[in-house]
Amino acid sequence: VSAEDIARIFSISPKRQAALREILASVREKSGRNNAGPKRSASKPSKKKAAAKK
Amino acid sequence: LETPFIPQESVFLNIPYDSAFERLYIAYIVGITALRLAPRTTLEIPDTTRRLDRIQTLLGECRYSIHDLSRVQVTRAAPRIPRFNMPFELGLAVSWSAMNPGRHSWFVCDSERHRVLKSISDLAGTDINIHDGQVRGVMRELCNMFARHAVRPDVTDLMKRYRELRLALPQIQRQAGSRTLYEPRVFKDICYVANS
Repeated sequence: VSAEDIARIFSISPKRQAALREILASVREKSGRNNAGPKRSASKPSKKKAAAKK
Repeated sequence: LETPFIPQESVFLNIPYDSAFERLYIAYIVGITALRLAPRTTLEIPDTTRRLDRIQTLLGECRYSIHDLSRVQVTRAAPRIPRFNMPFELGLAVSWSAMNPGRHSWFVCDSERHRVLKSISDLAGTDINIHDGQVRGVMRELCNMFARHAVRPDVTDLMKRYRELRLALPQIQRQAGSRTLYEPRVFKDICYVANS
């Protein structure tokens, strides 16, 4: 069953389908941006641990 | 007039329509559409039609039904009575399945192990799918129910889709001017977005 089938089962108009696809695209864009945001670099060992190693 | 399109690969979803169940309601829709099946509910039933007739018609159109009995409980307001709609609809599905061998399969879900059998001992011998009241649990149990299905998404993928749909819900509701997720238009919109 595809999205088109769902639209046919529930009689969702082409205009509404386009609006819903737009909502989904904006959500995906936002979550993509969030995922692609600056990431923290791998944490450095704490001073305490580094001192212990020495 | 165009003939209505009725796919065999539909799932009749027998669930409670209350705010405490919203997360699991969305989880079922996401999971079912990811399995390339069409979720169907009594939300589709117009008020002008006799509800029982439409439930029977819907059941007849669906290859599967899922009956979530996790919130069959006594109402808070007096008179304190249990809500029997869901067990009643399960009974209709069991009967429909027995009268039409090979045409309908039904599944029962609950959040707690062994609880269903205390209220419906006739289900002894039936495997109950326990989702622990968790979204991930619903996804896991859907994968178990349809383990032999052609499309087999994994739970990680389903959780990603779930989170995406949750983010889209405020906009869907705002555009529909709806206060709850259990309105016919919102249900249909959610199904479409979940499948897109």
